[in-house]
Amino acid sequence: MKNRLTAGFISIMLCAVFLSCGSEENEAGSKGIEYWTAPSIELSRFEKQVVDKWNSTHQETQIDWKTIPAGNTSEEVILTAIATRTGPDVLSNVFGGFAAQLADAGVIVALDTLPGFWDVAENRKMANIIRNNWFYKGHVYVMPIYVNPEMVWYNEKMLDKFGITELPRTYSEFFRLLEKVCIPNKIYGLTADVSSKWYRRWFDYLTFYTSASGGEQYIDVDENEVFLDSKYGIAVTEFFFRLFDEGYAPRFEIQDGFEKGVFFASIKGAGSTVRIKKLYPDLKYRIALMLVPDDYPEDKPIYTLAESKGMVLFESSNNKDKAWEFMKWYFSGEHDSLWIALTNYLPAREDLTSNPIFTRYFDDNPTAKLYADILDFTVPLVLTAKTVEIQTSLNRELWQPIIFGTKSPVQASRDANIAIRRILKSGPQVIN
Amino acid sequence: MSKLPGLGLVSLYVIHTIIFWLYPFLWGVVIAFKRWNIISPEKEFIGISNFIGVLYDPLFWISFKNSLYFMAVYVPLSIVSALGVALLLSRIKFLQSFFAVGYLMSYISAGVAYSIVFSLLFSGDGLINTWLSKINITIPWFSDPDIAMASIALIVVWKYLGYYSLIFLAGLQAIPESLYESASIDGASERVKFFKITVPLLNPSFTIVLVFAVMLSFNIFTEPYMITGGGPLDSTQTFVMQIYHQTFTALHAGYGSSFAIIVAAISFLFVFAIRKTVERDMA
Repeated sequence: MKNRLTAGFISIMLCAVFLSCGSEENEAGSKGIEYWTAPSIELSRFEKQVVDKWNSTHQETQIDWKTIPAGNTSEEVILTAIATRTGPDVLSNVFGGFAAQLADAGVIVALDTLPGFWDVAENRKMANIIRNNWFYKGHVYVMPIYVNPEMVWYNEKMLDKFGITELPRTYSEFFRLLEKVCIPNKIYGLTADVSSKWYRRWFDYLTFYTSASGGEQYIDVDENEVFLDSKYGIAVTEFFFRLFDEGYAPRFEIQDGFEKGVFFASIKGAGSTVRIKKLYPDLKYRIALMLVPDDYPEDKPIYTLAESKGMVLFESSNNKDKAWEFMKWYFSGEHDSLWIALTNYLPAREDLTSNPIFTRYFDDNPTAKLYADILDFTVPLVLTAKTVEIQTSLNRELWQPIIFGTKSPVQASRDANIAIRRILKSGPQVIN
Repeated sequence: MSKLPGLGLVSLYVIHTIIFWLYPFLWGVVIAFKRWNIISPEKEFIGISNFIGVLYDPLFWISFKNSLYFMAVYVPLSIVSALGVALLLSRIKFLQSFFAVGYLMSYISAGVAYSIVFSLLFSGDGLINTWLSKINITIPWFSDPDIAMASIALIVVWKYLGYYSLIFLAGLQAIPESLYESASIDGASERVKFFKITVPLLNPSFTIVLVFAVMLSFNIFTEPYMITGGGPLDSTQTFVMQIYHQTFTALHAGYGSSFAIIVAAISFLFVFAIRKTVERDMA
């Protein structure tokens, strides 16, 4: 009798726990469309206005908007949410490599199979951007929201102090300036992130590679080829090797070093202007194209890497049709002037410099115009599901050894090439 | 019927254990033999390939070496400092609990929060180096591959100082005062009393702290993850960082799971060896 009672009690408790989990899920499902965006103040300001506008005019399909919960990277948080079935219907702030992972797992919708996809792309003037940059295994999984090309920022106060009127173009010109400007252990040359975070390589090594190679990608995913040991790759590696070796970049982190006037130059995207205006209003800077190797042809345009992020729709959504309606409305193009005004990120559109809806913004923000002007010479991030593994390997085989001088530039470039080729062909482990 | 309330209360713990310990553990063992990317429903059985892959993974051996380095710094430092604090606390006659709880504050503070605070304090241009620069010294706490792991060990020593001290304090309070009085009558010095009475009778506390410290050495995650990300030059890579990276970033859940099982086995072996060599029967 006692045993039965005990067993019964335990069974009731177990049922209660499982039922309570189930009821929570049902409750979440009834909220409408769950939409997650990047946890940034500027982006949230835009999203709130847009979602409020949608919700006020679409009573039957309410958007439940949230910022992506805090975590080391948005991607890790999203993966956890997907694994625990607590993810959203629609997600923004997705970069191509992560979208490729999600596409390979079959958890996001191929958007080009949905009705009206290309109409939306044509209307927003992003059809060519999508055709050139966002096809993955024959389909488009991401609606691109913005592009964020990288350029070099120089401290204007230092430029004036040393009477520098012409900004450097090549590595040699840059180092000649550093000899004048830098003071050992006090004033450094270029911000170069020393951490092991895989995504930071977009903003230093890979941007430099794009410029050095004249707009080429460092890997060919289809052919499993890697070009880090090419003359461009070695030139970039030698540049950074010298930067650290001669003390023009410290081997430790300095928080906001450029903004505090500890660095002469820094690589930054258009979105940085908002933060700097807010936190360092007195900082004066000049912006120039990326640096290139000395033998880079004079008449060739200088390319740069452009980080780009977009929106995806999850297969698990119970309201796919309604969610797609929301996405089509979101990308109708009518919100882009508000987007750029609030976020300072350039919308992923081909008509940024010609469309009158952006004229006033660019007149008021000449810095952003510099970025918009180079959009034709930007290269997107490589679209591969192995982005994290590749860039982790780049860190391990090339970047960190270069910082600490434990490998020669040639050796580091070769080692990275071999390691990344192995990842492209079979994965990082023997079996995975 | 009189046992029912007790069983009912115990059942909560049993249910908790089943859901949050037994089920994940068994699931972890199952997926260790599979290739699975977490987000896809497809799982492919691949036998012990994941386990073989871990043993051939250079990062496994780098993490192992780093864990031993961490252990070599952390274990003696934490035991000596915690014992020192416990001895000081044992001599305080008033407000002993107040000071003991004060030391516990570090233990209950959030790992992510204090990791950020320490990374700012000890950064190249942080407060500590700003002070040190006045005497022309700059220590690259987290950016020198030779000392980064030791710097992290120092932070973890600070975190667990109060907790380990309380274990030692409980051990000290369990030693009968009469033993010290007898030794004093026999003319024993303070040094002799410490090494002949205190240290031997603290054996259970030493064993517990040693086991906890060694287990922690294999499980260290938050501090290196938040502060150094495993760098510089992989000098702060740890087992759990690799397990996390493989499972949630590279999406090799089966591989991550087999990694975790091997690490658990190593940890168990170390604990077993410690108990065999250090633990004494005090009965």
